[in-house]
Order: sequence, then C-alpha cells, then structure tokens
Amino acid sequence: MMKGLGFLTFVCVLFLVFPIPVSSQVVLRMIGPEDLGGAWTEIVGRFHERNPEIRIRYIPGPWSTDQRQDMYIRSFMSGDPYELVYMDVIWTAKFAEKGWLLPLEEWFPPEKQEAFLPGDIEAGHYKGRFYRAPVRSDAGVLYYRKDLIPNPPRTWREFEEICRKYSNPPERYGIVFQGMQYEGLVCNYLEYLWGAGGSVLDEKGKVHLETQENIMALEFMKKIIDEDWAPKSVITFQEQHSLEFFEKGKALMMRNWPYAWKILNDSPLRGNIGMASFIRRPGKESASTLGGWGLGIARANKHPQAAGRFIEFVTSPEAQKILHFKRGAVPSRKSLFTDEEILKESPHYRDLYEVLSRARPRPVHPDYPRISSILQKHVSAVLVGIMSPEEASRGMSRSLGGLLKGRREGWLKRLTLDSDLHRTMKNTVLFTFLSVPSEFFLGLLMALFIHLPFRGRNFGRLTVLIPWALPTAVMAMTWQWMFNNPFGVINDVLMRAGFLRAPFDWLATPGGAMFAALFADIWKTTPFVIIILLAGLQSIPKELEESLSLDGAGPFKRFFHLTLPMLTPFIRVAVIFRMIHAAGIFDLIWVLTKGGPADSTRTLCLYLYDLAFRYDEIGYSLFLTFLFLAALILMSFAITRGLTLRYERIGR
Amino acid sequence: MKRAVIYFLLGLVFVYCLFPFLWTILTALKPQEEVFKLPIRYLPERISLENLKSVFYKRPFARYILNSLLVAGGATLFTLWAASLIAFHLRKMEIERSLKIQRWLLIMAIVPPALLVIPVFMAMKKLELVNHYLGLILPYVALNLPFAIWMLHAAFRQLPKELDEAAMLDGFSSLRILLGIILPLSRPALAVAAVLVFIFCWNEFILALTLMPSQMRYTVPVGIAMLSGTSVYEIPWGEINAAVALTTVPVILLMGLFQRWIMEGLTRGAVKG
Amino acid sequence: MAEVELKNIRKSFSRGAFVALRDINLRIPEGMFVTVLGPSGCGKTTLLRVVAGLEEPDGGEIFIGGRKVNQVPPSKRNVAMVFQNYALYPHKKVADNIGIGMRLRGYPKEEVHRKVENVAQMLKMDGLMGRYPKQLSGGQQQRVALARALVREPEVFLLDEPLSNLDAQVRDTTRTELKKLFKGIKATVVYVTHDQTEAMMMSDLLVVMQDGAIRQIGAPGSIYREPVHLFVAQFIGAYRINLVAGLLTEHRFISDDQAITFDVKMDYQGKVLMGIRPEHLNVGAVEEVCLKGEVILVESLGGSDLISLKVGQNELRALSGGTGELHLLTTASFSPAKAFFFEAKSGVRLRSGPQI
Repeated sequence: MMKGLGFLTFVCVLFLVFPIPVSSQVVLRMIGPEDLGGAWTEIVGRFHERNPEIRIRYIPGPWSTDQRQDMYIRSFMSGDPYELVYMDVIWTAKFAEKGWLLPLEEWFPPEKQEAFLPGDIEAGHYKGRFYRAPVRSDAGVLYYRKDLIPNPPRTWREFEEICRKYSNPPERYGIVFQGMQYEGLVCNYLEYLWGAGGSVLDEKGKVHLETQENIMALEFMKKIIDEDWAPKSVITFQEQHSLEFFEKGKALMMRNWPYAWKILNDSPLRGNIGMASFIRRPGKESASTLGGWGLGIARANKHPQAAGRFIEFVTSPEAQKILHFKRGAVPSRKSLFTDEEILKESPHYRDLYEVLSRARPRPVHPDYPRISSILQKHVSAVLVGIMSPEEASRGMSRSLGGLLKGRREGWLKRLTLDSDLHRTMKNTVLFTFLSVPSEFFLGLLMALFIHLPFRGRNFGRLTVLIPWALPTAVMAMTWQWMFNNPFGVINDVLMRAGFLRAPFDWLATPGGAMFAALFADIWKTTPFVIIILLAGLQSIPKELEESLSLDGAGPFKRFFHLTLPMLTPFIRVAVIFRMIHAAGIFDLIWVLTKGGPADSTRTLCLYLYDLAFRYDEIGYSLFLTFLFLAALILMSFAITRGLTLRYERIGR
Repeated sequence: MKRAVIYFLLGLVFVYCLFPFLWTILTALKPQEEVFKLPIRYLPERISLENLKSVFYKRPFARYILNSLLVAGGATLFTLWAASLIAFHLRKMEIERSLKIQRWLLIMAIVPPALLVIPVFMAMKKLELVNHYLGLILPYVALNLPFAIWMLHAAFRQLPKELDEAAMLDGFSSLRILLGIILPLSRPALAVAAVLVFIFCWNEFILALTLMPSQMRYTVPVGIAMLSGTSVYEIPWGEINAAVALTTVPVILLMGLFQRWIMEGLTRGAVKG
Repeated sequence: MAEVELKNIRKSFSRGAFVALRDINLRIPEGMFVTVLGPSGCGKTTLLRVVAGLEEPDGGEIFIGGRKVNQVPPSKRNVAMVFQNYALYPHKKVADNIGIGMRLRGYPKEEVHRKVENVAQMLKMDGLMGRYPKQLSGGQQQRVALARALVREPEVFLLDEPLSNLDAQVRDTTRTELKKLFKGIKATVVYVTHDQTEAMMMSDLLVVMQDGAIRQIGAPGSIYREPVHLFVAQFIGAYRINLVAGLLTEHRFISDDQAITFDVKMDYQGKVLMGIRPEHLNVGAVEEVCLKGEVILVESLGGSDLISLKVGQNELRALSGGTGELHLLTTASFSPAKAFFFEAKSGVRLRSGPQI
C-alpha cells in the first residue's frame, strides 16, 4: 500500500509541477457571450484562413456582463490575462486606469477613428489615449407592436395613455424592460433620468442627483410597475427575459437593445415590430444609453501585433457585416448605415443612425463599477418598494458623493461613512442569528431522534450526513431551481398544500431571498450540528440516565437535568463553528442571489470580495477582514466563557 | 405503534435531506420540453439523457472533472503525507503539550475560507502560481492540515507506545516505524481523513474561483456556477441539473461506502475536542 | 423495608441468541443482606437490573413488598441502586447529587436539605458537600453514590459491584462499614459481586449463579461446608480447591494414578472427582489420610504458607501454619470427612445418606 501511495504522489507531483504543455502557436483568447448565430465562429474562421500562424480562441462565458467583467479583472490580476479584451463600453476607464490596456493608436490613428460613430470613439478614449476599438454599437431602443398600437409614444404622458388604453394585464402588459439589480438597470434608469432632463454629474463633474428630475424619474419608473403597466416580475428581468416575454406577445412595448430586432423578425411577430426612440418628458431630449462592445489589447500580451491584426479585421466592414447579419449586431462604422445590403434587410437603420449618433455614455470614471453599484441598489430599492423615490435620490446622492470623496479618507473614518459596510453587517448579523439557532433547534431534535435505538439507525445517520457532504455552490444552483418562479418545486408544493394561492417569486423579493438563503443554509449545515450533538449524546454514560430515571425523572426532566447540561461542551463547539461559518458565508449567497435583490442578501464576505476584486480596494478590504476576524475571535471567547458550566472549569 | 411513528419520522428525515438531490436527478433526466412544462410534473414522462450529453458538449465539462480530480486528489495526498508526519511526531510528545499544539492548529482552522481569499490570492500571485494546480493545492493543504492532524493524531495515540519501542529494539528507523507499523494499523482513520479532505476540496468554491480563473482550469463547482445565464432565451436548467447530478452522485457514493468509518472517526474526534 | 420475590424470571438478549436468566426463582426475606455471586456473564447484574426495572423480563413475575411490580416503572418501585461506576452527575455538586431524587419528587427544600445533612453525617462526608464529583477520590465518590441511595429511604437497596473500583486497602474497611451500616438500618439489600470473599464476609444469604441459573442458595457457612455442585465448591473458598480424578468403588476411593487411596463411607460406583480444600490439607501426619509428596513451590502469605506438593501425578496445595520445617519430601494429611466427591460427568456432589 505504501508503495502504491508513493507512486501516486510522485505522478501527481510531476503533473503539478509541470503544467500541461501549450502549443507553440500564437494563441489569443477572448471572452464573449454565447456565440448564437455563429458570427464569431465565422469571423474567427476567416481570420484563420488568412492568418494561419495565429490562433484565436473565442471562449463563451456567462451572459451577464458583470460576470464577464469579473472574469477579465481576475485574469488581469492573475498576471495571465486573456490577450484580447472584449470590453463593454463602461469598462474602458477602469481597465485603462489600472494600466491593463495597450493604447491602440498604432492601428487606429485619428483618421481611421473618423470612420466610426462618434459616441463609440469617445467611449474608447480615456485621458486622451485610445484603448478600445468599437466592434458593435448599441443604444437603448423602444420596441413596439405596430399591429396593436397605432403610433409609438413620444412622451411619458402618451405612454401612460397607451398603457391605459391598450394594455390588459396579466395577458398583455404595457411594457417590459430590465429591472433586475444589475448593470442593465442603470441603462434603463438613465433613460428616464435623462428623459426628465436630469443627469448624474453636473458640468463640473459634481454629483447632481438630489434633484427634482431624479425624483420624477424614479417615481415614474415605480409607477409603471405599480400600475401594472409592467409585470411585477420585471424586477428579475435581464435582456433575455424581457425579450422572451415580449416575443411571447405578453407586452405591447419593450425597452431593449437593437440586437433584439433580428430575433423578433425571425419569430411569429415578424412584420409587426416597430422601433422608436425612447420616451421623454415634453420639452426634453429623448435619450438613449450608449452601449456597445469593443476590443482592446491586454498590455501583458506577448503578441500585440497579432492582436492588432485581429482587431483590424474584426472592425473591418466585412466582419461588421457578418456580425450584423448573423447576430443582429449594430455596426459601428458610419458607412455601413448607408450600405445597400444592410438597408435592405433592416430599413429602420436609417432612423437608428439618428438615435445612435445621439446616444449618451454613462459616467466615465474608473470607479464606475462602484458608481453603478450605488445607482443599481437605490433604483432597485425603489422598484421593489423598500425605499421612496425621495429617500433613494438622497441616498444616491450621498453615497455617490461619499464615494467620490471617501477614497481619500482614512480607513477608520470610512468605517462610519461606509453605508455598504453597514448594510452588509446588518445582513450578516441577521443571517447568522436566524440561521444558527434554527439549526440548533432542528439539529437537536434530529440528533435526539437518531440517538434512539432502532433498526434503521445507521441509515438515518448516513442520510442526515448527505446535505453536508454536497458542494454548497452546486447545491445553490439546485436551490435556485427549486425556488424558481414559475418552475420551482417549492412554489408547487406550497400551492398544492394550500399555503400559497399564487406562485411567490422568492428570489426577487428581499424577504423571500433571505428566507431562501436561510433555508438552503440550514438544510446544508444542520448535519454538522447533528453529528456533534450525536457524539455528545453517545458520550453520556447510560448509567447516568438509568440512575436519574430511578431517581424519579421522566424523559423531559431527564433531558433538562442531565442531557442538556452534559451536552454543553459539544454545544459550545458546534455553536462556535457554526457562528463563524455563518458570519463568513460566501459560496451559497454568491451563487444563489449574488447579494440581491436590492442588496438584501449581501453579506459581509461578499462585500469584502467585491471591494478587493471589483472595486480595487484591496487595502481597505484587508483592513475590514482583519477587524472582522478579531471580532470573530472575541466572540468565540465570549461564547466559550458563557457556555462553560462551573464544573468544567474546576481542575482537580 | 411506537415503531410506526419512528419509521414515519425516519421517512420525513429522508425526504427532507434528500429531496433537493432527488429533484435534481429527476429534472436532469427529463427532456428539454418537460423541464419547463407547467404544471410541474414530478416524474419524467420520458427519460432522456440529452441534458447529460449536452453538458459535456457545451462546455469542457470533462476537463472540469479532470481539474477537480487533480486538485482534490493532489491535495488529499499531500495533506495525508504531511499530517502523518506531523501527527507521528505529536504522538511522541507528552499528551498535554501535543493537545495544546493541536488546539492552536484548530483555532486557525476555524477561519472561514472566504476571509482568506484575498491574502492567499496575493501570495499565490507573487509565487506565480495563479491558474496553476499547485496554486490551489497548497492552500487546500493548509486549510485541511489542522483537521487531518487532529484525526490522525487521535488514531495514532490509540496505538501503544510499546509498539514503537519494540520496533526500535528490532532496528527500525523512525520513518520505517511510521510507514511500516503506524500507518498500516491506522487504515480506518487514514481512509476517513482522506475521504473528508477529498470531499472538502471537491466542494470548495471561492478559492477555486479566484485562484484558477482561466476557463480551462475551472473545477467542477466553479464550472457549474458559470453555466448560468448562457443562453439568450432561457437559463439551461436541464443542463445545470444534469451537471449538478454528475457532481453530487460521486460524493454520495463515497459517503455511502465509508459511512460507518466516517461517523466513528468524527464522533471520536468530537469527543476529544 | 420489604421482601423481594422473583418467580420464573426469564430474560434473553439479541433476540434469543444469548440467554441471561433461565427460570429464576428467588425469595429474599425482609431485612436480609443477600449477595448474588458468580463469574462474569452469569447473569447476576441482569438479575439486579430486572429487580430495579431497568430490564424487562421476557417472562415471570417480580414482587416487591408483596406487590407485583412487573409493569411498574423503575422510579416508582421504591428501590435505590448504587452503580458499579457510581453514576454521579458530574455537573452537580455533591449535595445536589444526593438530593436530586427527592427534589424530583417534589419534597420541600428544607426537608431535602435536612435529610441530606443526616445522610452526610452518617457517612462522615460533611466537608464534601460543596465539591464536584471530579474533585473526589474513588472512595469519596462511592460514598456519595451510597448517600444518594440512602437518602431515598427505599424498600430495597440494590448494589452492583460497588467495591470493585476501589483499592484493596480501602475495600477492606469499606466492606465492614457497609455491613455495619445496612445492619444498622435493617435494610433489605441485594448485592452483586464476583468476589467470593466479599460475598462470604458480608451476606446473610448467598445466591450462587452460573450461566443464568441459580446453583445454590444458602448461608455462607453452609455453602462453604456443603456445596451441591463442583462449580460452587470451586467458586467458594479463599483458595482454589484441590481436585483429584479417580474412581469410587466398594467404599474405597482410588485416584487415577493410584497415588491416593482411602476408605469412604459412601456407597457409590463410578468415576468421581475428589475435592479437598487447601485449608483442610495439613502439613504433617496429623489426620487420617496421609500423603507423601515432593514440595514444588512455597507461596508465602505472611502468617501462613501455601505449599504445593506433587503427589503422584497430582499437584495439591496445602495451607500450613508457616512455622515448622520443610523438607523436600513432606507428608500431608486430611480427614476424609472433609473431602467432597463430585460425579465426574455432571459435577453434582455425592453424599452419603439422604440427598438434599
């Protein structure tokens, strides 16, 4: 046996010290969304034909742009970044600020830049240098059903009238958009804000959110949901959900990006779709949030020339056309908007050009992720109903102001200013103090039960152990599925049992999400408590029980006078372990809710992680970690003290 | 009568513990249309393996499994070696001193991994071990050592010191004593420790997510978490459930095989603790 | 105090695989100190637990103080038990350990306190009241267990090998004290032990058990003098009884190796085992039957010696006074009246005259 183990170890060491060899070709990797329609496959294929010594690897990643941004950030931080950086328009500032990008003037001198839409080019600049070549442009657009509404609304009031007249919930709503707490929400929100004449920053770059316009915009968004012009579930929708909804004919209008056009025209709704610029208040400009994607080169890339060549190809008219026809992407080259082939397929592009020329970028700032996070949180809070528009506007303004200033403050001062910190601490405390006692209660009952001598006892012990052995992150996916609306089992069971009349959207409601997280956590970690308590129960000599029963104690009295006191050392161990684990919970929440909705399940560890990896504040994050650890240790001592019986403390 | 109540309660426990897992398997075996049918059907009308197949097709899932095996396997082996050596040495000491050392080790083990990610990441980056198997294995070994030492130490102590003394008189060196006598006699404890460490590494998420961010290096839990939201229309729940089932079935099998030993090992350890 | 009666008690474990008690019939009169004696696994502890109510018999009836208690739970049987490991509650002080039985039954605090004090004084434990069990020595812990039983003033005391965990020295004194104590309160005591010395010294009545059955009941002296079975003769007696295999024929015993022969009154034909206790085998030609043997070993006991003699093929031990010379070849003698004869196959003791 020893020889076998030794050999195995040797093989492992070999494997590990020498990583799997890489081919000698030049390989450039990039991450993008799932390549539906095969546009990228074709582009990459054609490039390979003409450039056989370069290999491009397109890695499909999650649909959520936030997650892909995280993947890029992590890859940069790891020192082995993906060579081609397929960037959303809002990532440029941050990536450039960190020095992760290579300037692209070599391949895109100013003359070449002229060929593209001005907004896109502007978005590719940071502090005067050009980092991101636009691949596809994007702007928020209002889709509407030509067959159901005579004319698209232009103002907010017209919108309201159309909804009142033509919508018929729940078969058909007025509008569907992206209301989940993520980046897309900010895009939607800004269109209302700008449509009301407001803005995030004023001309001097100062925060300008405590304004009437902001309140009006938020009130209007809320009204849309309250009046049932949009379905309540819109607060869980991202682009693909709203598209699916609209495609099934359940809404008169949809706010989405231009890519949807192609998909809708391939569906039964073909011919009945119209596109318009977004609604606004009378007298104000119609606004559209600039989106779009571009390619950059990682500075650590060993083959910038090859990368540059690929980017040139992707931004060429040929490739842009492929993207358009196969993917429905909006090109960024001005010339393509007057191209015959394109206009034949998409005549609306003439109008779209107007919209695109006036699309507005989101605030350009290296801290944009943080800014976006603050905006997302507050808007989501309004939509969900836990904050009023006035409160939200004040909160946004304060937080944003604090953020832009607070970076310079000392850490100790930040402890009092950091509202994210306070929120996450509250969530963590709530979570811990709800989860641990429940586990104990349940665990004690189950341990007592399994302790009874009966035939299936071992089977019971094995069964009980299983939840603990399964991977948390993986099971969190299962829980997501079980709490799903409408396909979730939990809703089904509750409805059949009569506890619920209609399916409840657990993960979209702050309370519901917290409950789901608690349920999943208790399910998983109760076994741990059970094992420890079982060991404790088994350690009580049978004679003590017998003696006590001879002395006249029935089962309940025996429990309180003997079992419980003798379990104390075990309870102590279990409580400490559980409390620390609950306070430090990450896996479950990250996968299940990512901290949402409206930050209601965001615990401390999630915040610390974001601080380090997304907001780039490693120092502050470690500082908080240190404090947190100290608190945990102190708490452990306190518990140990509090839960030790006198007889344990006395020595011989 | 009493027996009926007990079996009923046992049934409840069974349902409570296993239902999520069972539901996952049921969903995984349904063909695509059935997964999204309302009202929900519990048993699939038609059993289909298409979800399982597409899991491997859409993503390099086989690669994920390989990664997980390498990391978990490697970490388990290294942990066991190191823990054996350390526990062997602890065994020679007087018991109070060894217990004190063990207690300190355990204190370090309670720290939730989520708090350690950042410093570990930075350290691994300095060592240029990010995206490298060793970069994940080393932290895993560190995290699991206290527990493994605890278990092995308890098991080693059960063996009387006289064995060592007899062996020394026979001319064995310390290492031979460990390899030839102590380890073979502690097989149950070794098995339990190995299984538990392996399961921990297999299930671990946050360190794997951060230290091996390259898609080809994902471990299975990370791979599954990143499966979400990959399609325009729908989240591929059929496939996700298939992937989950693939991941969890081996764990459950392992547990079933080693169940008795695991319970013994854990309870014995808990008493000492 | 009450009498205890067991009628036809049967008990087996593991679904009949192991029979612990086979058809036990026993009557323990009121106020008697009865010891149940036997080797490990003979069922004595099970018997005790059946009386306590901690085990339910498979068949038969139990009576305490004249009432049938089969269905009565242990706490209501009015018995008190002292466990082998004392079973003290580690998390309670001594005073609470003792008093808990009464507290659970609802006696007022002052009364409990008073009674506990009384018992503590009786056992000379005054200073220990505030301590925790882990701070006490073995002997002190045992006294606490005892006190706990005493304070309940039960009808029957049950003690499960209470002295087995004590040092030899302490055991001796405690033995005497226990006997005095129980005699003082005229208690009905059922005492279980595997130590025959203890049993002999303390009991009014001895019950010898083997393999779940009662072999013999009687006063210590009579069991010593008149064992009904080989097992009892071997088990009882400070020193191992000497056994010689042989033949009994025409009023004469002839050992298998022909080394030992003498006349007997008994009228029996057949193979037997002759037993003679070392204390009845004297050194020197003092008694009727004389043996000549080679001294192999001398085990000194201080005041006396156990001398192992090889007589023919047999090795016999004799208890001598300790003084006197010892040559290599020595004579030992015994009186045939003190010899026991056991049927070779069954082990039953043969007697002249009416079989008892």
